[in-house]
Amino acid sequence: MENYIDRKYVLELFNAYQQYSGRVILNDISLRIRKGEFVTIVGPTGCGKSTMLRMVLGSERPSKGIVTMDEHLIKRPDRRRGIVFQKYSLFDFMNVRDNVTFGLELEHFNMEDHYLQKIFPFLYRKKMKQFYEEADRFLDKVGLLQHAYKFPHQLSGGQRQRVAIAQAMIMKPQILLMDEPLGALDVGTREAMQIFIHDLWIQTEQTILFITHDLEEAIFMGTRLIVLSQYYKNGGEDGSRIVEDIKIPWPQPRPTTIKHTQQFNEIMEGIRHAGLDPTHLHDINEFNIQHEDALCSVRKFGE
Amino acid sequence: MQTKPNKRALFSRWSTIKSMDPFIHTVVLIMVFLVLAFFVRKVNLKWASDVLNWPTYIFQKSNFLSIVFELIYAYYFIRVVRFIIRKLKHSVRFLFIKDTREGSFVRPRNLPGSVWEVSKKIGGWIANLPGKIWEGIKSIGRWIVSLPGKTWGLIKGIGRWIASLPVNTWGVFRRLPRFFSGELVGLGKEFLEMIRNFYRLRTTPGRRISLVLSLILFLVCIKLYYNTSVERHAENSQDKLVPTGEQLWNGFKKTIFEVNIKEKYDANGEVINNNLPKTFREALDRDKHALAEGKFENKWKMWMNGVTHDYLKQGESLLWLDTKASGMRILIAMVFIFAGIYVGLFMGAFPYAEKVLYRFVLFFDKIPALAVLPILFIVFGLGETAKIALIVIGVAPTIILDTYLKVKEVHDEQLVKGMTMGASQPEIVFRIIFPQIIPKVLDTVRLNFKAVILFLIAGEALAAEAGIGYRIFVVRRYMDMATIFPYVVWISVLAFIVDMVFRTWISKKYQWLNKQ
Repeated sequence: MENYIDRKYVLELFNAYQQYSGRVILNDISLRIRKGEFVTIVGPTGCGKSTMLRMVLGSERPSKGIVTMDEHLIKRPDRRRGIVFQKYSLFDFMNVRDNVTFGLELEHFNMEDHYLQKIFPFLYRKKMKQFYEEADRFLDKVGLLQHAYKFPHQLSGGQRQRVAIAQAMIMKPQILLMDEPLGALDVGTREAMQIFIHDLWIQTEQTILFITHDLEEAIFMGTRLIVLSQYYKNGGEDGSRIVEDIKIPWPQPRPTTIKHTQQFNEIMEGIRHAGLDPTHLHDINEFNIQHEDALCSVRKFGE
Repeated sequence: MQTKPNKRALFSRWSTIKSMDPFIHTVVLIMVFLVLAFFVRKVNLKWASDVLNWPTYIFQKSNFLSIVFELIYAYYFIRVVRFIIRKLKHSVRFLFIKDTREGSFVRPRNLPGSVWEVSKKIGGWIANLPGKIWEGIKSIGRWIVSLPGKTWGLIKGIGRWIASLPVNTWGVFRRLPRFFSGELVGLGKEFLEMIRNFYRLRTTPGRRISLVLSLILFLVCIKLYYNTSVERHAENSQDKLVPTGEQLWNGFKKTIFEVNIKEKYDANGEVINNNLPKTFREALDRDKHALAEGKFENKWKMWMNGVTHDYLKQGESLLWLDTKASGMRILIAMVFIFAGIYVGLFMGAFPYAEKVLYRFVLFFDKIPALAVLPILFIVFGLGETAKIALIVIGVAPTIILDTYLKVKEVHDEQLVKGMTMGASQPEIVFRIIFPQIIPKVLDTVRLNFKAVILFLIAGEALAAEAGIGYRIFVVRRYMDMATIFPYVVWISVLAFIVDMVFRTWISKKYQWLNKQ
């Protein structure tokens, strides 16, 4: 689990800019992510975390620069990248098991198969049984097997997010993107979900790109932490940049007790001071970009 | 440590080139156009020969509209043929494919195999065929065997429901006085509460007083009607404008039980008189006399062989005749209105379709349908087509625009999620968007049912041979209020029942609705 440096890059961003009607949101983002990494991205509100995720997902294109996956340009969302949103990830009109099976059905059935199945269910029984077995395996993994026949509106927020994760993971995407999946949960559920996602990552060795606004969560969960921030002195440029790109030192698996250690708090304070504090405008040369994979995205002012 | 390559990603490209034919939707649309072609041509369709001879029809018929619909119909015909050919090709293709992954249920569909592999595959397929057929027969058999069990389950359920009814019926009767007195006391309490809280904003009226209050206006109306009727009948006992209760009851009986007798003429143009009775009452009286005289063995024989039977066989009840005619028109119009849902769906889902259709439908929606009624009667003639077209022109734009708005309400996240799960474009439309909007659209259809009836009556009032609106406007000439009232009540009841069916269907089938 520890040595990522031998693995190949799965996702690369080169000098990516994003701007809406002249206003720059992302300013020169360069990034390489290796297979199997758990990358967390934090940043203050409005720094363009979700914009960056949408660029990776393919629902938006960068206005300048390129975003590639496996050395191919990302053009639109496809099944190689799974996504878990904060809300609206689940389909309300299906029960939990159908939600999880939906992706398999979409992939292996055509449109006509879906309607033929409604008329002649016995023709598809064998295949559906295999799908349901697979879905049950994943539901067991997220601990919701006994809720398989409930509808999403009958579940709590944490359960809903777990179903959404199962729904995304059953497709075995190359990268799993998570856009503040724990944003709407209370503290207790949130911590349980952090441990759950982390364990799931250790089991499956899935590449995960995790976006959050909670710094503690980001440090606790990731193997690599990226801070996006718009608070820096930059000679009139706006838009967010990567101001921090560090490797999280703790080995896997991590107990929750590390959150209360001295080292953890020091890292947290440092990052909060450097990236998330709007009153602290610091010089562009001071960016803390020490990860081995970090591209030199730092341009000195005036060059 | 190296992770396994994701094999399924190899075949992901298939999801984008998947077949684009939503089969059942195509069939539905073909049926819609067949129905329309039926009315435009006014000929009986012989299905198989028509399908084969559609080009000759185009050149035989000079009607512009029929040609347009024939073209659309031909388009869909070609699509279905193409779909069948493609499906056949597809089903053959998997014979030429090597399954590389052991124990995988994914069938790789884009890898060619060697001749040996292919022949093994074909051999295996042929060897498996009897087993597969046997499996199919077994599953059908299993379904048939399970049928009695299902029926028995239903019977058991009904039995359980009957068993759950109160056993001590006498006890219920004995408790009735106490029950009513309790209700009365409760009503008094709630009345006092009402006096105290009448002008308060956030109060909850009680169950009993709510019932009484909601009945008040109905009772006032009935009382006013009664007074007017009594006054007018005191002046003129033959008054028809405000019929009394007896007159109304006779009108009900006349419209429901009296059959619509068609007079037959002989060669000289004179009415053939048969000795059948002229009213239901008369027929029943004759039969009862015959039974008393011992002409029939029992009542059942009387009903089957008597004069009443012959009387009823002469024709149909006026109300039933009109309801059938109007119902047919509404049904055909509803088929087109449901087709409007598809138009709205495409308009909302595909931006280019939106650009083509949106402004046009918006403008079409603003045309008052009743204003184009004369044009419709001139273009389509006095037949059924004009009346159905009036309903469709009046209601379909509303349905289309409402569906469009509902599609726009679907969260973008859901579409992106679908794309990340490998859905093709039509799959996103029909399997993600459509199931989400359909209950809301059905609600709109339900609310627009009133407009459907309005346009139906407007169309029938001008020219028709039968129909609820037609009858109301015909008997208006004789100021036959005793016939108009039953018709008004009947059409309201029908509309209410349709509304109730829709409501129950939506609340039972789509329980997830409005619960997010």
